[in-house]
Amino acid sequence: MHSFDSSHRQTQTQWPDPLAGGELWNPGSWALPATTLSVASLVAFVGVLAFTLRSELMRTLFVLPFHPAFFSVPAAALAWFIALTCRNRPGRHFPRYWVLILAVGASAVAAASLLPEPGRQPWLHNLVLATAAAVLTLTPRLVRVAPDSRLVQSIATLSLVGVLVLVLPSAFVIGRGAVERQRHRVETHLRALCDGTAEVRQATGYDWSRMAENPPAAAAVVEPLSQMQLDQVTADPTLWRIAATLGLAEELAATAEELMESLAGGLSPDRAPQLSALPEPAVWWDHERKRWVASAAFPALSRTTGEYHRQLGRLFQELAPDGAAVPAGLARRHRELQEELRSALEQQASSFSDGWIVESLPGELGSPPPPLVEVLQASLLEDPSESLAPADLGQLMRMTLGRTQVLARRAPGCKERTYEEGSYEYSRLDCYAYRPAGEDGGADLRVEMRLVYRSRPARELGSWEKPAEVFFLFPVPAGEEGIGAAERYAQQVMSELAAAVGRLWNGGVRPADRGGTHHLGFRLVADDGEGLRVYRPRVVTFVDERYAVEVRAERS
Amino acid sequence: MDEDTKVTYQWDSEEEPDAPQIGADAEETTDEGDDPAARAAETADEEIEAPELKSPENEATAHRSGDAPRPSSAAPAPPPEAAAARSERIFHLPPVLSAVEDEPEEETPEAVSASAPIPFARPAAPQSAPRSAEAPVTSPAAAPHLIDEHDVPFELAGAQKLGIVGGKMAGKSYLFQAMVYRTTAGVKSGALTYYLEGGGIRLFSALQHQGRADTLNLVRFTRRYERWERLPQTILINQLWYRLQLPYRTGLLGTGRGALEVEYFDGSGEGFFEVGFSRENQEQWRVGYSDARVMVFCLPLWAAFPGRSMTEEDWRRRDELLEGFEQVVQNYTSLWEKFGHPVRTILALTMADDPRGALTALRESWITPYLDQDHRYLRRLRKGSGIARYLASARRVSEALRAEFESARDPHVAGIPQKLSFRAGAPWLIPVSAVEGRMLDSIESRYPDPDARPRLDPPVPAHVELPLLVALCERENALM
Repeated sequence: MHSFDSSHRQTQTQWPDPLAGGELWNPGSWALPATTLSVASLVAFVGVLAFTLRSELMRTLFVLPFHPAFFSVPAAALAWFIALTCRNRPGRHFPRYWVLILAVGASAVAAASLLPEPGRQPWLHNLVLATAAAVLTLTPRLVRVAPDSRLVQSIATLSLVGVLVLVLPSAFVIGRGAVERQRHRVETHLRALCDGTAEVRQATGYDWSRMAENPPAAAAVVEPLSQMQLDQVTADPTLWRIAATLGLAEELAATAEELMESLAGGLSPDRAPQLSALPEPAVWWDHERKRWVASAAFPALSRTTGEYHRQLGRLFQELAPDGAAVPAGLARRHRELQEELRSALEQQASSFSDGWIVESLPGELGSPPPPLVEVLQASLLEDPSESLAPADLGQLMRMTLGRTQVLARRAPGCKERTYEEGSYEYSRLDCYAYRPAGEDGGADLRVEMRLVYRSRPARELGSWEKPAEVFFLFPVPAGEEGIGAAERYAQQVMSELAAAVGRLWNGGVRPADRGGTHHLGFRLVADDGEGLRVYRPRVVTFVDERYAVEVRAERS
Repeated sequence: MDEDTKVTYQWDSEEEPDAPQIGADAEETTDEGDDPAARAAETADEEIEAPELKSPENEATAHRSGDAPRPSSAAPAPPPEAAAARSERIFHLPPVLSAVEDEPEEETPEAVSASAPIPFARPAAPQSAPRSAEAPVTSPAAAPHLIDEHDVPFELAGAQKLGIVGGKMAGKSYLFQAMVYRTTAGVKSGALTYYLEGGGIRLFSALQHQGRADTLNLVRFTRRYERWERLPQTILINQLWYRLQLPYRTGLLGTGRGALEVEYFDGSGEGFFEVGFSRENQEQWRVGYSDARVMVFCLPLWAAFPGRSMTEEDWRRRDELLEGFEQVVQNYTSLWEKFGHPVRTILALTMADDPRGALTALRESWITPYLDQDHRYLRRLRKGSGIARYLASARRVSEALRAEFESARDPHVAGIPQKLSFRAGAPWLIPVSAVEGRMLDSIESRYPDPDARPRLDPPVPAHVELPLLVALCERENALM
C-alpha cells in the first residue's frame, strides 16, 4: 500500500544516554581497557599466588614439573615487550607503572629462577606461575582495539577469565602432582633408609672372625655399603620440611635413628672385622726356608676390613643431621652415638695391632696417623689398662715364657710359634702393627715385634726361661724407595725407638754413638744395675724387593 | 528539536535576565511552521550576502543552520543593512575569483594559493575601500591577525591523516571547527580529556600540503564559532590544509611528551567533493586521502532519516545532500581502489540536533542531555570510567543506527553503511552536533548584526571528538 508520507519511521526506541552505556557489573565499564587489563593482571597475579599458597601443603610442596626458567624467562621477555611497545601510548600513569613493575618483577623472578637449584625454594615456583599469569593477562594490550569494538568493555574480563581458566586448573594439577612427587620422594628416602639398615645389619652380622675362609664372600658383604648414599636424606633440609608437611617426619626420623644405631654398633671392635683376628699376618719369617713370606690373602682381607670401617664411618657421618628442619631428637641421638663411638675408637687407636683402623675412618671419627714413637708404646694386650708395650723392653725381657704364653691369649694380633732349629728349641711371640696402605684401601705392615725365647743347647725350653732377645722389623714405607731412603728411615726408626724405650725404661739411655745420636744403637742401664743393649739397625731386603730395618735388643 | 523538550538557552545567565525568552521564541517560531514572507526575505538575504559566490540553487539554503539549511520559519529576515554588513565582513571576493569559481576544473593549485581567501577572517583592508580594490585575504600569510608564525613545513612525517569528507553543506567545516574548539582546553575535551595532557593544542594551516605551515591563533580561529556566527561555505578558493597537534603523555614513566598530529583538508563540498573523480582532481584526492587511515563521511542525520516536518524545500535539499554524498563516496571508492589498504570509517551524522530528523528518541537521549548539561558530561568524561561507559553508549547507538539504516525505505539510504566499509570493518555511525542549529537561527534572526550581539554562551559541540579518538586509537592504540 502506497503512502504519501515519505518520512522515515524510527524503529529503534531505546537509545542510551551518553553515559548510560555499560553495565555496572561489567568491569569493562569501570575504566578503559589499558587500566582494566592492568587491574586484571594484578588480580591474576594475586589470585594465582593465593591459589598456589592456599595451604601449608601447597606452600611447601608446590613445584613446577619443569625448570622454572622455562616460564620465568619468556614471561619477563614478554613483559618488557609489552612495556616497550606500550610506552608511547597516551594515557595516565597506572597502566604504565603496572607494566613497568611487572617487567621489573618478572625479570627479578627470572634471575632468581636461573640461580642454582631453584627447586629448593617453593615460593619461587609460586611466583613464577603468578608472574606468568599476570603477564599473560596483560598481553591483550598488544591487540589493536578500536573505540567502537565490543572488546573495549569485555577484553579485560575475557583475558582474566581466560588466564584463570587456563592457569588455576593447571596449578591445581601441578600442585597435586608436586605433592605426589614429594610424597614419593620421601617414601623413596624411607625405603632407602630401610634398605640401608638391612644392608648394614647384614654386614655387621657377618661372622668376621671367619672372613679368611672366604675372602670374596667377605668383600661381597661390604660392597653394597659403598653404593649407599645417605647425605640426600640428612643434608637436605627441605626433605624434613616436606616430610613434616606430609606427616612422615616421625617415621623418617625413626628409620634414620635405627640406621644410625646399626652403623654405630657395626663400628664397635667386637662386631667389626679386625686384622688381629686373621690366622696369618701380612708377612712372616719362614725359618725353614730362611726367607720372608707375604700372605696371599692378606691384601684382600685388609682391604675388606678397611672398606668396612670406611663405609660405615662415612654412612654414619652422612647421617649427621644438618639444619633446623631435622628433628631435634634425631640430632641429639646422633651426637650421643658419635660420642660413644669416638670413645670406643680412642681405645682402639691405642691398640698395637688394630689401631690403624681409626686412621682409615673418615671425618670426625678418624684420626691422623700416629708417629712411630706412639705406636711402639701402644698396648699389645686386649685390655689397654694392662700395660705391655713393644717399647717396654725392660718388662719384656723380664717376662718368663710361661707368663708370655698366658698373655699371648689376651694379645690380639700376636702369634705364638715354637720350633727347633739345630740343637735349640725356640719359642716366639710375633706381634704386628699396621698402617693404611694408601690408595689400596688395605693395610700395610708397619712394625713387627718378636719376643724370642731360646733354650740351652739340647735342652727344652722351660716356662721360667726369659727372652733371649727382642726383635723389631720396620718395613720401609711404600713410596720411599732405594737404599738411601731405607737408611734414612733406619735413623728415624732408631730415634723414635730410643724415645719410646726411654719413656718406659726405668733408667738411663746411652747412645752407642759418641755423637749423641741413637742411630748406631744405644744402651739401657737400670738403677738396679740391669742393662740392655739395642744394636745398630740393619737394612735388609724384605718381600717384593722392599727394604726393612731390623733392630735387636739383648741383655748386656 | 522535539517540541516536548524544553530547552533553556543561557546567554550570560545572570546579567541577561531576558535570555530564556530567546529559547522560547525559538520554539514558538518553530511551531509556527513555514512563513512564506520570512522565506522570501531569507532568499533575498542570501542574494545580498554573497552575490558572487552562491549559485542560484544554493542561495536558498546556504545561510541556514551552522551545518546546513534550517526551516525558514525559524529565522525572520534580518534588516538589509545588517545583511549587507555581514556580507562585506565575510566575503570580499574580486570579480576574477568569481570567474574562477564558475570554472573550477581550470583551477590550479597555484592559482588557489595565490588567491584563496582565509575563512573566518576579518579583512585587513579598510571597509571604505572599493570592493574590487579591497585586499582580499588570499593566504594565511597575508592575514597577520590570524597567523602568528610561518616557518614550519606543513608536511610532517608520521602525521595521522584524518579525512573529513562530505557533500556541500554537510557540515564538514563546522565539524572541524567544533573539534578544534572541543580540544582547545585539555580538561574539557570530552572523551579526549583522559589523554590530552601536558600542554595546549596547536593548529597549523597551509595552502598546499607541501607548503609552509602557519601557526594559527586558536582564539581567532574559533572566534566566529564561539560567537554563533555562521561559517561560510567552503569554496575552491578557500580550501586549506589544517594540522591539529594534540599533546599527550608518553614514556615508561609517563614523563615524556608526544603529540597526535591530525591532518585535515578543508575542501569545498561543491567545488571538490561533489565533482566527479577525474584526472583534474584526482591528484588532490590522492594527496588528501590516499594515506588517510581514518575517514569521516559527513551526512546530516535529518537527510538520512527525514521526519514529518520536512518542507518541500527540505526534501529538495535532502535529495541534493544524498546525491552529493553518493558522489563523495564514489570518488573516495575510486581513489581507495587504487591503494586498497584498510581504512577505518566513521559516518558522522551531522546536525543530529535538527528537529527535521525522524529519530526524535535518539535526539532526546543522545544529543539533548549533552547540550543541556555539557558540564556534567565533560566532568564525568575526565575519568576512564566515564569514557568506557561513553564508548559503550556510542557503540549501542551505532548498532541501533545500523538497524535504522536497514529499515530505511530509501535504498540509497539503506545501503550507505555497506558502502563505507573499506577492509577495516563496518563504519562507526556517530550522530554529532557541531552547533545547535535552531539556536543559531534564533540568534541570527534576533541579532542580525553579529557585532551588536550580547555576550553569549558558546555553542556546545556534542560528540565531535569521537573521530579524533578514533584517529588516536588508530595511530597509538590509545585504549590499550
